[in-house]
Amino acid sequence: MDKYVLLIILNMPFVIFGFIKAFSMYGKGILRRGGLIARLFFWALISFCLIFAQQIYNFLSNNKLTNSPPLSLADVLLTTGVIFCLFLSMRAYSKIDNLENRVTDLHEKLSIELSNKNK
Amino acid sequence: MKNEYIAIVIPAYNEEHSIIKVLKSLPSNIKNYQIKIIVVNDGSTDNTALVVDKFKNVILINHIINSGAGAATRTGLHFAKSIGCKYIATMDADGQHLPTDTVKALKYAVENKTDLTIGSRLMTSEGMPWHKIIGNKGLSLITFLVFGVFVIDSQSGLKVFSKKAVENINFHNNGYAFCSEVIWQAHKNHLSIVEIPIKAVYTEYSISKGQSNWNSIEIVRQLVKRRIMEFING
Repeated sequence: MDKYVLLIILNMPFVIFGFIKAFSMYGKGILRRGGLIARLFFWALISFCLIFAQQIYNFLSNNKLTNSPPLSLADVLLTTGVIFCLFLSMRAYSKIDNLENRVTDLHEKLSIELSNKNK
Repeated sequence: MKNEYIAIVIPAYNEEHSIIKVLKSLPSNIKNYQIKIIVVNDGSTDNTALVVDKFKNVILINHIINSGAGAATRTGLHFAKSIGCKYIATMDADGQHLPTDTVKALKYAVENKTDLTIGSRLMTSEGMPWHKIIGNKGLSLITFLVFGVFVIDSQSGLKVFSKKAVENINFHNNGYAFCSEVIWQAHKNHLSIVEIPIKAVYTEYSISKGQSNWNSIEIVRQLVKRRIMEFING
C-alpha cells in the first residue's frame, strides 16, 4: 500500500473524531462560535497536510526547501503518534481545566458554608 | 438610609499585622448604602482569622486551603453577590490602598453606574517604586497583547464591580493573573471599564508582601494558558 494512503488511513479517524467532538460541544453549548471555528480550522489544517502530504513534500523538495528523504513507514508511524499525542493532549488539557474549575467551585462553596455554620 | 448594600471584599493571606489598621479605617456607609466588609482568609497560617474575628461588623470567610488571590477574590465576590450587594469593591489587605481611595472608587461607580472601576496606581505613579512601575506597565502591555484590551494599571487590586459585572465576569485564574482576566472578561461582555487615579502606599512590608517582578513571568504564563484554554474550550 502507498505510504501516503496509509498515513491518511491511520490519521483520519482522529481528525474525524476531532470534527465530530467540536460540533457536538458546540451543539451542547460548551463551545462558543469562536472556539468552534478555531477547532475546525485546526483540524482542517491537519487534514489538508495529511491529504496533500505528497504534494507538499514534492513542492518543498523541488524548491530545495528540504533535503529530507521521502516518507518511510517509520515516518508514517511517527506522524500518527504525534497526531495521536496532539489529540490526547487537547482532550487532557480540556478535562484538567474543567476539573480544576469544578474543584475551585467546590472549595469556594464549602468555605462559605462552613464559615456560615461557624457563626 | 436605603436598605441596600455595598461590599468591600478583602482577600487576606498572613496579614495579621496590617489588616487591623485596614479594617479600622473603613466606613460603615457610603451615599445611603450600608457597607458590608467581607474578609476572605485564604488559608493563612498566622492569626489573621483570629484578628479579623474580633471585628463584629466584618464577615469572615475562611478558605480551607490556600488557593491564591484570584480564588479568594472570587469567593468574596460571589458571597457579596449572594447577599444582594449592588456594588462590590476589592482591596488589598496589606495597606497598599488608602481607604479614602476605596471610598472614592465606590462613589464614582455608584454615581456613574460603571460596571468595572479600576483604581489605577499608574495614572500618577505617586508613591510607587520605579521597578514596580516598570513591572506593572509591562503587564498592562502584555494584557493588551494577549487579550486585546488596554488599561493603564491591569494589576490593580482596587476594583469596583457592579452587580451586573459580577454576574457576567467568570474568571478562572486563582493567582494574580486574575486581574488581567477580569478586564478581559469585562471587555468581552461589553461592560464599561473606567480607571480613576489612586495613590499606592508602599511600605517595606507591602513591598515584601506584594508581587515581585519575577512573579510577572508566572502571570504571563497564566495569561497565555488562559488564552490557549479559550482556544481549546471556546
